[in-house]
Amino acid sequence: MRLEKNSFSKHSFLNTMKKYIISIVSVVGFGFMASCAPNPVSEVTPDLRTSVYRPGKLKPIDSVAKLKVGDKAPNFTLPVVDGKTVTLSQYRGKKNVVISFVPAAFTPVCSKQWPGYNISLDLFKQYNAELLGITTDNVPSQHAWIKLMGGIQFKALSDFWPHGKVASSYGVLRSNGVCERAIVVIDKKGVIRFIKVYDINKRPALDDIVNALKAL
Amino acid sequence: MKKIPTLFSALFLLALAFLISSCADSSKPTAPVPSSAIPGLDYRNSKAEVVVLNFFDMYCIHCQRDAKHVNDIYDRIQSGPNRTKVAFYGIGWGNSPVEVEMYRKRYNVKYPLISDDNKAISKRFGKVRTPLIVVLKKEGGHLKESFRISKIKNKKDEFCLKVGGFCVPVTKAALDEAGKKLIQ
Repeated sequence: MRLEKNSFSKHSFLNTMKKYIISIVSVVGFGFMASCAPNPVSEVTPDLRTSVYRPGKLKPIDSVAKLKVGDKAPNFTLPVVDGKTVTLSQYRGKKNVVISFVPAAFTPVCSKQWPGYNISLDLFKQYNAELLGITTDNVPSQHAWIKLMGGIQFKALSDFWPHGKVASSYGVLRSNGVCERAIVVIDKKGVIRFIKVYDINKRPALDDIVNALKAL
Repeated sequence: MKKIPTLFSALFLLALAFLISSCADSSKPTAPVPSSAIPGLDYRNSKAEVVVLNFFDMYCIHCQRDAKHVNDIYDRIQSGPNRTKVAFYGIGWGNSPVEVEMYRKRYNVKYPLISDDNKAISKRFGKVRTPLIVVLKKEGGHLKESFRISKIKNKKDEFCLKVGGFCVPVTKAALDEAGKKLIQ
C-alpha cells in the first residue's frame, strides 16, 4: 500500500510540476512578446537637418477655399509609396479619415510634422481614424524623403499626376503647385467635419486634430 | 509534497504580477495629473541643488529616438542616494499641452513635463536645438547653467560624471573612460 501510495504521489507531483512549468514558460513568453512596442522610428541618417531645402518665409496662405464643414469630401484614388493605391471611398462606412496635406518633401516644417504623427497613432486608433498624408511630390521623391525621416507609420499619397488635382478639388493647391498645409477630417459617411488651412510656415498643433476627432 | 505545488502557485502568481506591472499599458498616466497642466509648475521654483532640463519636441525624430535614453538617465538619478537633490523636468519646445501629453504617454515619461508652446522658456537658454539637456546648478542661491548635452544616447556616463556623480550605477571603468574623453 505504501509503495503504491508513494508511486502515485511521485507521478502526481511530476504531472503538477510539468503543468506549472508549462504555465510559467507560457506567461514569460507572452509577457516578453507583449512588452512595450518598439520605437516606430528606426535609426535615421544624421543628414535630415542638412538635407532639407529651406524655402524661406512664404506667403502664409495662397489658395481660395472651395469646401466647408458639411460638404461631401471629393473622392479620389492616389498612389502610395508602397506601390498600391488608396481610394477615399474605401473607408466609407468603416473608418473616419484625417488627411494631412503638406507642401513638399525635404522641407523643414513638413519634415518635423509627419514624424510627430508616428507617435500619435494611438489617438487615431482611439477614434477609428485612418491618417493619410498627401503632397504633390512624385512617389520616388516621397519614398526618399520618408526614408530620411526614418519612416512613417501611415500612408503617404502622391498627388503628382494629374498634378495637384486632388489638392485642387479640396481647395488647397497653391499657385506654385504645392499643397497648402491643411488638415481635413472626414467622417464615415464621407462628410467633411473639419477643414482648415494653416500658415504654411508653421506646424499646426495636434490639438485641432484631437478636438475634431472628439467631436465626431 | 503537497507544499511544493502551493509554492509553485505562489511563484507563478508572483511572476504574473511582475509581468503585468512591468508591461503596464503605457497609455495610462503614471501621474494623476498631466504635469504640463499643473499650474505654476516652474523649474525656477525648485529647491534642488541640481536641475536637469530635457528640451524635447514631440515631432523631432532625434528626440523620439533619444526619449528612452533620457528616461534611463532619469532612472539612474532616481536610483541614486542623492536623488532628492536633483530635479528633472522636460520642456516641450514649441509643443502644446496636448502634444506634451502625447510625448509623455508614448514614452512613459515619469518626470514632470512643461509645455513651452511659445518658446518663452527656451529663449532663456539662447540657441536651443532639440534634443538638448541643460543642467543647472545652484550657486549663491541662484540656478546657473553648468553644461549642456545633445543626443544623450552615447553620452550617459559622460553626463553622470559631469553632473557630479548623481547617477548610478556608473562603473569605475565607465567613469575612467568618460574622464579620458573629457581630458582629450
